[in-house]
Amino acid sequence: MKNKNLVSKIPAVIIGIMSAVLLMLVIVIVVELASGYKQKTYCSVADFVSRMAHGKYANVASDINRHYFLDLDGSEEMNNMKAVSDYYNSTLLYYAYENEPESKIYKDAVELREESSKNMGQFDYVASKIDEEVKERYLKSVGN
Amino acid sequence: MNCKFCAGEMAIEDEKCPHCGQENPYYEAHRIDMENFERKFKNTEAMVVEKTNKYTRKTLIITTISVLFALILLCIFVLNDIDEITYTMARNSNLKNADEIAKVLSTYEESGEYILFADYYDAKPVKYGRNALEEYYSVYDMCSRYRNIVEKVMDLTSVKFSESNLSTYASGINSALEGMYSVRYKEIENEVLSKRFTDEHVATMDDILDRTYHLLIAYCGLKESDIEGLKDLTSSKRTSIIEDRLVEVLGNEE
Repeated sequence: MKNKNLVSKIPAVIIGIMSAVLLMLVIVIVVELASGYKQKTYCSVADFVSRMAHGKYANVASDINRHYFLDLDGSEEMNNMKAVSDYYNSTLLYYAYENEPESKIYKDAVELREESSKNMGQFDYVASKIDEEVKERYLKSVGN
Repeated sequence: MNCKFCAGEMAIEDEKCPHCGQENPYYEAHRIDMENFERKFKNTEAMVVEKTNKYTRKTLIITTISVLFALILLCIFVLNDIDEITYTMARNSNLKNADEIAKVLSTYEESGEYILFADYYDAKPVKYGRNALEEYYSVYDMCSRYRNIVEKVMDLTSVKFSESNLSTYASGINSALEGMYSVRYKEIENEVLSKRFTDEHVATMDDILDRTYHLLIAYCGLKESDIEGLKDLTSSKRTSIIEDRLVEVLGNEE
């Protein structure tokens, strides 16, 4: 009798489990749809902070914009890292156009370097390191 | 039927004859028959009802499980393509705002912020429905390749740069350069794509190439004389020159 009762409950258990799975899937789909399109490469501010802490400035600078556009939460750290990226890019151009001080690119680079160096916040120590690294490579390359 | 005593008319269910009052000899047998019949009928009826209920319950369970199974499968398929679905939704929404996106792209193009241009274009999924922004596509292509080169230069300037695979590194730079040449000097000849090559866009492309050359000279050790003929070289020759220059620069460091 007991066995018969248990057997009669099996379909209800199966339906219960399937309903739970379905509900879970529906919730995941709704959350995914609500969060909208994000690129696969999306990563968190914490990940960037960690990369900065390990001295991977170039890595962050080359990656930050695409995240910046996707994660416009206006967080201070994100804005600071965007400034690091701008500083890296403008420093590359600054030295590359050093012999053309009258060119618009050089002037823009000088301006962006100054502006971004002010906006690095907690990462302001990075500016001198980037400058050092880029300058060193530049001098070796043109001195070749 | 008729009463066998008075021949009066009577029914089989009558216990006695309504005319002479004599007992109906068939009544008892008929009553027992009817009771048996009623019991059998009720048994059969109960059996039919039970079987029907069982069948309905079974059908209901099977139908419910099947429907749930189908819905779970559907959800799995949807989840599997959720990126595609959200991408399409975002793209449709972006295409509605194509004018605004075009305005931002123009601003980046005019101010020479080519990396931002490429990143913004990537962040706004319009690439595969690009009719609305068709005219920016070749500039985007150039910006995207310029971004590759800037990223490579960043790697090179970084103290963590690994010198173990210079030929791959040189090949990466060459591949970006080759793409730029293809856009700037080959695509431009295609009349179908003429919309992408307005004077402004061509000036942007030249500026991008100029910046690329400056970066290669400043950080990869290329010389002015290398740059002059770079675009007419074969892919392997170009890669070889870039690699040689990198080796010279890195050799100087040791």
